[in-house]
Amino acid sequence: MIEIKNLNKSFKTKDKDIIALSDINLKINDNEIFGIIGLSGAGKSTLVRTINLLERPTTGDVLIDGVSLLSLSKKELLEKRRNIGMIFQNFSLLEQASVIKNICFPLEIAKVKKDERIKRARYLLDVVGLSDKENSYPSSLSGGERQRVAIARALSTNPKYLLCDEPTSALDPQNTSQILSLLKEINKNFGVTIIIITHEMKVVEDICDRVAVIDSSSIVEIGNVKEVFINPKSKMAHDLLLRNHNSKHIETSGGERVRVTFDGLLSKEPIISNMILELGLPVNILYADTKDIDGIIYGHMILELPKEEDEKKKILLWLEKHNISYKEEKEDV
Amino acid sequence: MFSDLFYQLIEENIFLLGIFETLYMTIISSIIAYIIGLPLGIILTITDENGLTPNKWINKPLSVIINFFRSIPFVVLMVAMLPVSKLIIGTSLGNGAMIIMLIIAAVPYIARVVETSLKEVDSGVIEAAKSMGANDFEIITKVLLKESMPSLILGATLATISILGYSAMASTIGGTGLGQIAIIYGHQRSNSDITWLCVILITIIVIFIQEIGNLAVKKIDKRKKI
Repeated sequence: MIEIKNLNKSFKTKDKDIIALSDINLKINDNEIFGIIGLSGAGKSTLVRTINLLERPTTGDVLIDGVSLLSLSKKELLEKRRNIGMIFQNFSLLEQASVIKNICFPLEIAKVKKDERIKRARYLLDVVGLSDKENSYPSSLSGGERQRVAIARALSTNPKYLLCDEPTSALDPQNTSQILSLLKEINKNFGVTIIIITHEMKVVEDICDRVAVIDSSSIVEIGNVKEVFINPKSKMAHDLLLRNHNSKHIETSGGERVRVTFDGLLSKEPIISNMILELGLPVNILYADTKDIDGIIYGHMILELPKEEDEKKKILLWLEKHNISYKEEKEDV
Repeated sequence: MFSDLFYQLIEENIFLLGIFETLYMTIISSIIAYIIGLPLGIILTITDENGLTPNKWINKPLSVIINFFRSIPFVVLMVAMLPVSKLIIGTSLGNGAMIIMLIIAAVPYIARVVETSLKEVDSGVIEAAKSMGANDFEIITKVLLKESMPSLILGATLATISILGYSAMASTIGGTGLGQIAIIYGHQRSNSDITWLCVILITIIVIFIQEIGNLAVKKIDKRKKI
């Protein structure tokens, strides 16, 4: 378990201190995939770097399995880091070393014998599906392949934790979902606890069990992904959910808006059409972001309801009857 | 077409000897200058405020000393450093003294060239190595030096060619080599053919060194060629 206790971090510049993290408290359980989401500059990269003490907190403590990292000697800390793998947005591979040498590198530092290093590296190459690239160099690989090498490298010392700093931000959508499912597999098959930093709600939706939302240096919300998704309590979580939502700029009749969340309904059912047909009432779809996973629909829509109070009520009742979560959407969002 | 002295020097293998002496001085000076300059370049890099172990009490003074030596023109430095040569090897004349001068001039230059190369290494890779539990020494030897090797070799090529250029001034303090032949036999006795042959020979040596450097980089650099 990773515990972050009352953690503060500020950076000194010439004329003032910049607060990067403010009173962070966090518990990350074993075997879970924990997301930390926020906009760039919110402090999330700094936060993940305090977990392996690449950044030293100004005050507060970081405990890994009950051991305070700050109490460790330099040598003990270096050893502890072998139990915490890390991957990065820009992959950070050794450009002058072959794929297999990159994967062997942490083992070389851990003074593992050469034949054991190679054996372990080959096994991990197989896990990430790059066995044929053993002797290639990073420059000849695609972004997705580079991140796979980085993942194999991070797993070489068999760590209990894997920190992922924006692992998919430099990748295209296809590679993103491949890397995410690889991470999910690793979590499931090896029991590695994964902490993933991102600015994309999609990443959190796809693989995280729990999520912390970070806004200007503080955690504003922590919860199960489903809960946060259906009922975001903080403005930041809400904004991140509706990242590309510009409906406030759309000229509408000014009716009330609701955000409808789909979670586990059958995708073959034309829900909104059914509602319109059954009730004979119009709704205006202002925003929709849904996807189909194995025939089940996930996502959300913003609907503008009719102005008449009783028509509006009918629609809301219909939604409730069909077990579809909704939440009123405020105008100023 | 050529002067009598020109033929005489060729017959006595003076040019060949000159080539050998120039190469000898250049190579010996370069090697020793790198033995001193490389660690200094590493120290400059890691003690920088964004380096591995920031330390302005080491970085600033070292930087000032290096800038000081680099700003002195070589001929002036040579004259000023004669007593140092006398102190180290007992004489301020001849090829030995010349090698000392070349080293003194080249070390600060090399330190800067090495620093530039090492600072090109992506800070993300260094951070990754830290996250794996690498200590500072491992980061220097296994990441910084290895990742910047192509750039270091190009820098070394540049430094060696500069040293070769300086070595041509050897005759000023009684050193030998192609520079001395050009000045004593060519310039002072007005045999421009001798001067020109020396120029051509030095040019060939420069091209030769540059090509070796380029070939080595091409062979070891694993990044995609643009």
